[in-house]
Amino acid sequence: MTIPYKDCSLRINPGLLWKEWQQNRLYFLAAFLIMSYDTILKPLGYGIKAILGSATEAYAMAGALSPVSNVLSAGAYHNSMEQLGSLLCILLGVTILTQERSGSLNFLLSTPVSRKDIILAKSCTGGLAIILIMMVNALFLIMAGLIWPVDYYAVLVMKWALLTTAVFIALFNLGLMVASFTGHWLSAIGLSVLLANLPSMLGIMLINFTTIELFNLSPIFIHRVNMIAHYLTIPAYIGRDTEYMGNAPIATKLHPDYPLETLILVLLIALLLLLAIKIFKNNPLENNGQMLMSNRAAHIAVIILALLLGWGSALSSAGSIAGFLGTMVLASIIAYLAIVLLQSLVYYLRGGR
Amino acid sequence: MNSSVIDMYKLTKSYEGLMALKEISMSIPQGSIFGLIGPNGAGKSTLLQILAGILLPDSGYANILGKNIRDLGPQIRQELGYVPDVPHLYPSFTVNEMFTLGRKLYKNWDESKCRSLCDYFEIPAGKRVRNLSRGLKVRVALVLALSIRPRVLILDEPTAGLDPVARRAFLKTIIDEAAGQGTSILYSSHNLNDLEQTADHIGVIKQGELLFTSALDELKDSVHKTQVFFSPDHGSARALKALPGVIQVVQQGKAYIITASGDRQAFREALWALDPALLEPINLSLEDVFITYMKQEGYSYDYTI
Repeated sequence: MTIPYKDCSLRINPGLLWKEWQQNRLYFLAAFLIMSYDTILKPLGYGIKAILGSATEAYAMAGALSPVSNVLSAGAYHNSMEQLGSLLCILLGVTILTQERSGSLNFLLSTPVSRKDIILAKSCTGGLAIILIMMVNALFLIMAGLIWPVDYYAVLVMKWALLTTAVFIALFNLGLMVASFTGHWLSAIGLSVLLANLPSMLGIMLINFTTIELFNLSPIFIHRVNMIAHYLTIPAYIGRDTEYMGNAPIATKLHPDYPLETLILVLLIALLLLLAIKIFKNNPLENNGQMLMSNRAAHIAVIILALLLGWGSALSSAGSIAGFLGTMVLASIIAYLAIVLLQSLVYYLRGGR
Repeated sequence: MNSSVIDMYKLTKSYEGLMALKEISMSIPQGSIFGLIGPNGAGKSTLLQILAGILLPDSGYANILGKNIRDLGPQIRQELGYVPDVPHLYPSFTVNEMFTLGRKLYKNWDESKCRSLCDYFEIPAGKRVRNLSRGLKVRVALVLALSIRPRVLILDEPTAGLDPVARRAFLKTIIDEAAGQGTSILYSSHNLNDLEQTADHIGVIKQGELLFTSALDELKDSVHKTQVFFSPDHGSARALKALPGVIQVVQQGKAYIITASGDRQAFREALWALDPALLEPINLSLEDVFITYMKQEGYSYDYTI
């Protein structure tokens, strides 16, 4: 079903922007605190200690910034910003829309705003919040680099911040787009995580299968597949290290082409936003118009999550196809049972609500 | 000039194969208070949600202020107020913040009207929405809807959660709004007493089908109730059911209460012809009329203890 109302302008409703900020600022603050643990909070703790106590703490602070240094110099992929940031941005994108499903969407739809205005305001607020979070982080890292002996440069920080911001906004818009047709937040998160990582997973699966003699593919072909998979996987744009499948190294891009990759991500952000607007405009917004809206939605989400966990567990034992599939099935069943158990526990702890 | 503010033609909506609305066609006259009545699950809320732009119909069309609801841009929505049966406002917002949102979204926002209505309904402006009772939320929703100076106001069971004093204040406010501002009001309620006090037009809906629409006075004139007494062993009581237009005959002691439709005068003459000892008309409330019509349509609860 289509709505003939045509409105091609991209004017953002300031009232809706205010509403989104007012409604979600605490979520954004929480995301800032979690994402900035390794980049700001931990080093800041050492910095305060340095001011209050011994001078050696300053060097400890420089050490605290080493995960950041590693990331910036195309090394490791383990600080709170990059590890949790991707998931948090998907979570924010999903939450900002699904929280309206409890009824407030009806209020909003009866006001003089179009469905496009609603999605546009949500996307802009989330995007601006992510830009703000990344700007604060980048500024702190640059300032810290001027004061303490760290091994990175301001230009590199800015490039890194730009690319990472683009990745996070793309993931936010992916969550928003998926939430525009899924009614349940859990199914939206499961589906978004799956979509974000699917190309990379398929690439890894292909590489796994080539370890079996039946498929005798050339290393160049494998490398190309891997590169394509990485260019199609949004979170992979902030991964800089070499990944391993069992003992087999998977070469990833060690020296990112910052302008090109940022441009690709900007186009992806626009595409996801347009998709979200189009889908949300055409959603009849009652039960039969929302995919995964029924109570089965949570169940489907649990199965997706269990399969993802099973997949992850099986990667380390991918010596043979039988080993891979056997481990995946077993791990998925265990993960499924664990999640159902956890759900039941939460249900009873909340007094059966 | 078009004399109706809302026109519907063959408006149809289904949920998972279940027909919620079946080809509803009606018009809401300009400046009227139009009461929509019907049993639970009749499709009243679905109809109002479609008109408010929340749901989309499967087929048919509806025009509000001359604009198709499928093409209802923000311009028309500026003049359309909606109060749902359970207002879902933003729980983390204070009442003041809800009004700020209204001020930012509506060009015609009337701040002084908002403040005076707030005082009138004794709304605690600093309180968070999540801490308000259902009745207070309804009042906040009404203040929001009236402060935009709407030309059309859609109310879905708004008095359901209100105490009698608040309900009376609510009804007075919407009558004043219709009379003073010329606002057209479409109003669904189970409380027929409320509708009788406020509405000038009535539409009856059952199982998604519109049974009829009528001006309230005409509707009440169309059905009449009469009480008759016969002398003992008269034997004419059985003939009552055969009279033209009789819907129901109920015996209460020595009296027979007859509900009938059609020409009132002709019916009286037919009754006098049966030679009753006493005949007196009884005032009929909207509730009596509604129940009578519903009975005709096969919707009633008849039970014996």
